Amino acid sequence: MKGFVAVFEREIVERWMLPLAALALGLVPLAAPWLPGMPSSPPALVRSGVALGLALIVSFVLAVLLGGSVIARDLGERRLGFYFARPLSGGAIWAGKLAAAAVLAAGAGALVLLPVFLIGDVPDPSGYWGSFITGGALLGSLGLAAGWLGVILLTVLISNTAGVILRSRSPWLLLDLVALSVTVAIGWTCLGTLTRDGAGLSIGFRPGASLVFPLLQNVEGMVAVVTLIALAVAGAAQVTRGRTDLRRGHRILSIMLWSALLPAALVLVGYTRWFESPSPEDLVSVEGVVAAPAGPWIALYGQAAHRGGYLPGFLVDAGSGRFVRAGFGVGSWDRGQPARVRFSTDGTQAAWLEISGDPTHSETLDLLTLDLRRPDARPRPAQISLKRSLSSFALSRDTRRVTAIQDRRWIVAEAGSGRLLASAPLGNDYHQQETLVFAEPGRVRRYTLDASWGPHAGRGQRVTLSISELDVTTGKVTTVEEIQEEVEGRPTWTVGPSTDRGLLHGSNTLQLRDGATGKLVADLGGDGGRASFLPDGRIALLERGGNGSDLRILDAGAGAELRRFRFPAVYTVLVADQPSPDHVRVVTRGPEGTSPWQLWSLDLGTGEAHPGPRLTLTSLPFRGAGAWRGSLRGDGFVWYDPWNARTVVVLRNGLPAT
Amino acid sequence: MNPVDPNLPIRVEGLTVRYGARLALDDVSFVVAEGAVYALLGRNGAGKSSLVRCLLGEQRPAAGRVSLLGMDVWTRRASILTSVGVVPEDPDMPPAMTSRQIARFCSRLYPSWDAAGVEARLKRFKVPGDIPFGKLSKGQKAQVALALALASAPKLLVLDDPTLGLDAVARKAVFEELIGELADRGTTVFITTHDLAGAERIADRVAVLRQGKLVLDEDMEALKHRFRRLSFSSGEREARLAVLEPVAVASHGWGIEAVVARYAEDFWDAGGREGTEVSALTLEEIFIALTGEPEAES
Repeated sequence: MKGFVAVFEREIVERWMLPLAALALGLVPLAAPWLPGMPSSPPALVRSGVALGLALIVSFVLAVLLGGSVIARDLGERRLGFYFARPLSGGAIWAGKLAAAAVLAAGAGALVLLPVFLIGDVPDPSGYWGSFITGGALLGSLGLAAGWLGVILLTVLISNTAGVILRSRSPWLLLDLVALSVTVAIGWTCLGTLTRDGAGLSIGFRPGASLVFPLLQNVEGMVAVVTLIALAVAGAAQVTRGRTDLRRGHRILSIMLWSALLPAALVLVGYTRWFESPSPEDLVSVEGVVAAPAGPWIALYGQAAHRGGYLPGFLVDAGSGRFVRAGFGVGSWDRGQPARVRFSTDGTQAAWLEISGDPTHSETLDLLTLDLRRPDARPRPAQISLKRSLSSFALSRDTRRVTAIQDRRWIVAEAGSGRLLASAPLGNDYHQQETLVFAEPGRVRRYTLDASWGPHAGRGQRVTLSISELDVTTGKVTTVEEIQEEVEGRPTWTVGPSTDRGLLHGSNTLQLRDGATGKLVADLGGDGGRASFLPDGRIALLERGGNGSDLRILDAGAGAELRRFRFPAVYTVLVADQPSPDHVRVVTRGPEGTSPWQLWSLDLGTGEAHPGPRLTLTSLPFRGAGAWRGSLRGDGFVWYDPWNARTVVVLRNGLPAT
Repeated sequence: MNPVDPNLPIRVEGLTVRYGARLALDDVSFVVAEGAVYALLGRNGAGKSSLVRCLLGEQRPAAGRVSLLGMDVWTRRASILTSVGVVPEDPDMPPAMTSRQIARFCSRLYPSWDAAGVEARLKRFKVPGDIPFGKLSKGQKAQVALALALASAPKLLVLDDPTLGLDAVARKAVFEELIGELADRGTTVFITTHDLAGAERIADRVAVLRQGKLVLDEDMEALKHRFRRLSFSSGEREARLAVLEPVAVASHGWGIEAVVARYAEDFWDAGGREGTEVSALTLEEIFIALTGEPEAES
């Protein structure tokens, strides 16, 4: 320790002019508000901003210069023997010199800041830097200072390594260049991938990881720490083992450095591969689910275990457990979005939007499609890109056309060629619910639903359902109708498969309306019944009473009842699918909610209900609600869809259809 | 070599140093006894600097081992050097520091430090203590290095050509200081030098390195006793000269002049010493006789 202190102090004393120069430089920001070209911000802000910028530059430049020379120049000029001829350990020489370089670099930056501090212009870390820091101004400042010290230390170590390597001019330089290229390429690729996927937010290897030093919680921080340790160990070995022999020192440094960094790079590759290959069973929380209108496929995305902010997406066959990874969840950091996935009406094609490139910066979405019938099919990019700012999108039934609302424009384009078919301007308005559908040929329809607590006498919200259409041929937008209703609870608007009917739902409202005009077709009651469209357009309406539940099948034309199925003492009845025009499958569950699911096949022709087998359905932990059973090998999935305020069930293939 | 004393100031065993394919030191072994002044001589490139670097634990040999004061110098360098004073070939102190600053820095590293002695020596050498080291003359730098090396009262002094490039006055000052130190404390000294006259004044044992090999390691007195220059008329003695291991023989009109490596008085017994001349050789003459050419001073 005595030797370290002596060397450290000697290095500082030898460069006593540096702090003075930094202090003098710190006077420049005081005059900054009067310098030409400065922004017209408040003088205090200009002074502190210029001082902060100067301090960072001074620190960084000194870290590079001192780090690159403090040992390497002594070695190159054969002056390190002065230390080695004294009773000083190699470690003390190495640590004393590099610590002095780091302290000088950081200290010079602090001295540049000192004058503005003294006159009270303290840079506010909760301002520009606010999004990066937590814990208040003091903790934030300390955190920033610690982070900056880390950067300085890393810069000093990198510069020292580069200085030794360049001054030795030994053939090992070739190995260094090759190893550096490989390591940087691997690091760049892997970090780019991990950052794109959101690994940088938090790794969270174990409970309580948030208590660990923040650097260890994100992959960039871990890479920086590993690099710093490798550089430090290799640099120390270069001095302690190579001593005054520059070439031997270089050889030792290279061997130590690359034998640490190359395996670390391979570990990073392995980690990246593992990170990028989660299965649906790794999900600990589902953020969004979309079920195909027909068939066993669902699309879901959510948070995977031990993968921080990564939100992987999957297309999952509920029956076989087969899944395809898709990137429609990546970049959904606000987690307030339904999955941006659409299925063809027959459930055989899937199309989804992925952020193109780095989600931190990219503003573009790519459309990808997948043929779900072919097990070997791979996602295929369509020739169209959409804006990330889009608020809604839809595919035509045959998935050949896409419509979207983005940048205040309503567009229609061919998915295959990307050819723009129509583009119409829209107002700068935001809607709580927005739905696009391809209606009759050449027309695209838009439904918006907004609710507000306006100055009216009723108990519910004032709900406005607006219907407009875009004529693809002329590119003109026509507002068809604007309907206002008072609705209690959360209002939802669901459009039927043929788009000519829609259901307006609330806790006291259930209306069947014309899909094209919005006109009321039938009031289906306000007793809390829940309705949904069957694939053939008919309506399944569930009504709960004191003795059980009634499932009514209604005609979509006028809402007339076609069939009624009673389920005594059963309060959970979920319509699953419609295997044939005359058969609907439902699942039920007893009042306790813990009993097994029961499959029923409802014959719409005869009105008979045939019990099927007991089922094991996997409950998706939607947005963390509930526990993930962690198995794809059930009879299907069940989850609550908050955007449509209903519970959805998807069954696997092979279960009795009638 | 002394196999029984593990605390010899210097013990070098089988030292081999390579630079790529070139062999700089080839299986060099020797010991330096306590209180001895050991002069290592050799031409430029003979391997002296490599040997000194190994001796100070700055360089790891390809083979062999160096012990100073009974300890392995590679593994125990820092603790050994508390008892060793070093004067490097090219004084390598930080050029921006003054002699006093350097002395202050060094004083913290040694268990004992004679600060007054350093000041006195600098004064004696007429070296200003407040001028940056880089601005001192070569002679002054060497004198500062010597003053620092002596300040810790070392048990062993290692001097790597301390007078290289110095003028005669500076050389004299260095050697006089050394002689004074030796007279005062009897410190063990290992010195490599090109100044053979200076070495001859202080060394009691001499070694010669030639192309990485130690070709001579002998007491100064014995060396000077066995190396002689003989001048005699030609005749029967010339035929018997071989027993004295002549290293150089020249024929003149008046007779023979020879330098021999194994001089013995009984060589003259047969014919007496009439008409002959026997003279001692200087260390420089012996060195030239051994290495073949006059040593060039840098």
